[in-house]
Amino acid sequence: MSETIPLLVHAARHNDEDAWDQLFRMHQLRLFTYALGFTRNRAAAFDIVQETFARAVTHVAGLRDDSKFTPWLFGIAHQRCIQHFRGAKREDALFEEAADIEGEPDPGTPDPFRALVTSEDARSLQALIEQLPAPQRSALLLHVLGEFSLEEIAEVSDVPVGTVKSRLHNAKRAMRAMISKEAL
Amino acid sequence: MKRPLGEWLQGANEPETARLDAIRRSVLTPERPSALEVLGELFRPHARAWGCIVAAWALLALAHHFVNGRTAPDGARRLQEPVANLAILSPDEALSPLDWHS
Repeated sequence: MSETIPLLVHAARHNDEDAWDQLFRMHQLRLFTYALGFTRNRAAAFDIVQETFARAVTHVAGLRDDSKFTPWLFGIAHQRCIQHFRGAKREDALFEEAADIEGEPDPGTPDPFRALVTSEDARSLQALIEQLPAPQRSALLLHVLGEFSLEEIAEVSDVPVGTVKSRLHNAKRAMRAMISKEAL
Repeated sequence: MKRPLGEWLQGANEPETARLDAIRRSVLTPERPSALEVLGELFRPHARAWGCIVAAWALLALAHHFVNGRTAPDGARRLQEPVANLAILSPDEALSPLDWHS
């Protein structure tokens, strides 16, 4: 799939409507899941997807590398999510919830998602992620939905790579704590 | 069977696919608004102001019609007067002030 993206983007740059359709179809569910997980607001998530698509069509000339279309698209969606919070005047409060602790994740700790993945309950997993503070939630969603590298997440979120690392580490730790609490 | 976490999360939102399809289509092929919708969008935001203007014009039109309806015969008479005065003049009567001194 990712091999075809640069070809589709190339066609989309020349106003190929089918190419846009395929590109958006590939990303729509992931973008919606990201926006919903970030904003925790279904109506806002739909609006964000729509705005992201519209902005992608009008600003595609600003995309330098066609192979980076997916992180670029998520970057637009991320900005719309931030704007959603700004509109609700909650951004500061949400982003103060999490103190970003710089540091390397502990490689010795088990993956907190193993138990959940086997539990086959995606909705409860989503509910757990929604309990995380916004920055951790965003980093974790970008990590699992976009399968982006740390560098790409840093680029999408406009923060240093170290911050992304610590946000992911904290998110996993918080998830682990929530899962073990639920298991008790 | 294990699936990537991202797929699990997306799976929870799969019922929204139809709405997302509609959003995608609306972005790519925006529907052109009809003339009626354009007019509606033009007038709806200030419907009260436009209503007042329409009412004022209707009142003016009524007043104009009412006043004209009454004064039309007088007006007509006034228009006919110069014609009647001309008729009083005999053909050999001087019409130019210069002729008075001749």
